[in-house]
Amino acid sequence: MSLIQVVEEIPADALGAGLDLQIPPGEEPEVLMEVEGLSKRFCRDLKKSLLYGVADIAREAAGREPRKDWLRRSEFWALRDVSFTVRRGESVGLVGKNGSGKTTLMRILSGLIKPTVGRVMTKGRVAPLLALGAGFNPILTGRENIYVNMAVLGLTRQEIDERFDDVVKFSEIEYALDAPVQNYSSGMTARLGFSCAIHTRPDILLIDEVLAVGDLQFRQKCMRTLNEMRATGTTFIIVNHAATLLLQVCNKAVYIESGKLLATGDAEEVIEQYETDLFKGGAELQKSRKTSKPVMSEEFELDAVEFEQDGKVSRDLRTGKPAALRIDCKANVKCPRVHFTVKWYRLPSEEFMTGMEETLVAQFSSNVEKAEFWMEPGTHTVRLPLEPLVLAPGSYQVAVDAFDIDDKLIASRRSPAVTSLAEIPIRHSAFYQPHRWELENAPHQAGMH
Amino acid sequence: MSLKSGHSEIRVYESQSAVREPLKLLIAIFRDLLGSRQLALTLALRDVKAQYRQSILGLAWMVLPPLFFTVGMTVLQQNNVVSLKGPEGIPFPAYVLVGSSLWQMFMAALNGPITALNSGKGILTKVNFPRETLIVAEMYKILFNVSVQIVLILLTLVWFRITPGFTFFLFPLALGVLLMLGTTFGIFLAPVALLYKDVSNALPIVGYVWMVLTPVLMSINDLAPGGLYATVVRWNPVTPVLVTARELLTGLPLAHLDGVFWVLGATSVALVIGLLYFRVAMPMVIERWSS
Repeated sequence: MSLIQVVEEIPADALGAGLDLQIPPGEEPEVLMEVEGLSKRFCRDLKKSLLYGVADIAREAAGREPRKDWLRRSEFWALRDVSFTVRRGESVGLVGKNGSGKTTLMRILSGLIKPTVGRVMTKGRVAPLLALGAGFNPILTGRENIYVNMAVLGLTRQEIDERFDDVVKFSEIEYALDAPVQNYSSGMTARLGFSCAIHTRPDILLIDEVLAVGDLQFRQKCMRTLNEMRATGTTFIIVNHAATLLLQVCNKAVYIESGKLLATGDAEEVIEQYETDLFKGGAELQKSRKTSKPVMSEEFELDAVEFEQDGKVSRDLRTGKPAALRIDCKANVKCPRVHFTVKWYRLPSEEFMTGMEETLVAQFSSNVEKAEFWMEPGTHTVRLPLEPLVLAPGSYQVAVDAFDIDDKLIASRRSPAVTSLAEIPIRHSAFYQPHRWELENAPHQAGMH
Repeated sequence: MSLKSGHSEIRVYESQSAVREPLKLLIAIFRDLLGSRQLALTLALRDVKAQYRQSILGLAWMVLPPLFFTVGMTVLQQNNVVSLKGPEGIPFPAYVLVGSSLWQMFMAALNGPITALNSGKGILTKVNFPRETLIVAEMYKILFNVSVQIVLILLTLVWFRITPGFTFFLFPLALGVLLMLGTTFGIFLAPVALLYKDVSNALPIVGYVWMVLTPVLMSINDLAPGGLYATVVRWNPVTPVLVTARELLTGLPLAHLDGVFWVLGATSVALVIGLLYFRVAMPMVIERWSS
């Protein structure tokens, strides 16, 4: 609830005008970040590294040009000739194995360390979420730390005063605001840190594996906020190992391996490639996600598979409330007796993402249920009201297959990953069974409270 | 959430050293210093608050060391263990307290940048902000501590019925030069000190030797002229500043005021160079710290 307010307050007027200004029809949005031929060398040996440090300081101070393609003893290229461009409103997932150079790249993008070769240009306010609550002093209270943290991120006192209430509301830790931060749990610290960072209203947000902290409810709130921020023109770069999480918020991906850029482009394809590489050669070629590339045929297409709740498309669903699955399709020719299979997959939880398989939790086939559709050429929407939604809390994806009169597969498509969350706690339950509590023979037990 | 493309700041990070365009870099540094005044104050307040929240004696810790040092030196002198004496008309304890307090302020300023950057490691490795701010914040803290010590000095002057001369109003100038001199040394030392602990380990020793070479406990007039020791003491840049500051406080005739201006001029130039050096050196240090 607080979230919606935050978002509504900020871009309400800026949104329409701003986006119109920035994205004139037919033109691409402005470039917010440009990385050109970026290389960075590091040293594996600490003693040498310090010595080189002194040499580098002397060379920098003397204004001498560094020798570009030269590695000193024990040095290696942490990044080698990486180039890509990020535009306003794009969100980029940065993937690669451990030690591939992701964090180094993030540190250069945030201006913490200098490129050895190459150039990085950023435009607008950059907020690094490389560690939540950098600069929190454990002795001081949450209230005092909000001021310090946001000041470090570049806000004036007046701006902090204005946004203070929103920061507190979003973090949901009003009750601990005047306690020293050293008494906070890591989740509480993360909430406060994340809230401070997003309320600096950055143009570019750099997020390095910090979303794993906090409980499920807060993580989802973060994801939702990130999606909303993207819609209003904020760009982010996220490092995370959870493919589902990345696919929920990213439309682009950059894949690096041993410091080299392997692929960049559409998130779906790049992450697909990364996951394939990750399990290559292993006996068990398992993937955490099935490919979600839609299948189409000439006569029939599935345009979208989405969930709706409260009358609008949503990726954050509340269990126990009515929802609907919506299938948008297009018939190019007359299609008699189209029928569908809907398979529900539960996605592995983010922490154990890679190497675990999704599980099929439910399946319906419309022809078994005697529901077949006569579709004239044109667009159609098939709706499955789910009253109520019974999914246990978690992440899910729905795969829809469409078949023609001869049971031939004519189209197939997956929904985006959605998460469901129960408003009332559901413990030890595989699903939510709708129910009520009623007391019978009321007069007899009326005295009981 | 942000759509302020109208006034978007463009930043470029490239391999070339920014020192190659010193004027441009200097302008950027001063703009950052100006822009981060509030932040420096916030950080200084944070540290001062945190410092006293975990202390019962609080401010007393600012004045206890010079007090005890003075008591110790006075005991030694009264029992003829050391043959130090101040100039005519100034009681020895007052002379020692003023001199050692001023020396302590200088050393605090010298250590300031290293202390500030070491304790700011957490922010420095995570957030890109004007790193000079940490030094400015540390200077605010030092000024705060210095003012507490000055209260002690003034109380001592009253106790011993010493009246400063009419030139007393010049004292802030001398004190300012003293702190600026210390900070400038500190800025030059800091980047390498952050890489090698040897620098920090050596500082107390260097400080001790330096104090011996500065007229902290004795009067410069008592030195036999011409000797090597006297020459070193005279060429020591701290000497004219510290001596003048003490003369201003205790009403002694000013003998080295011209030296203060020479030091001020040289320090100003050095400080500007130091800021340039610091700006380009810090990324080299930060990349060698764990993230």
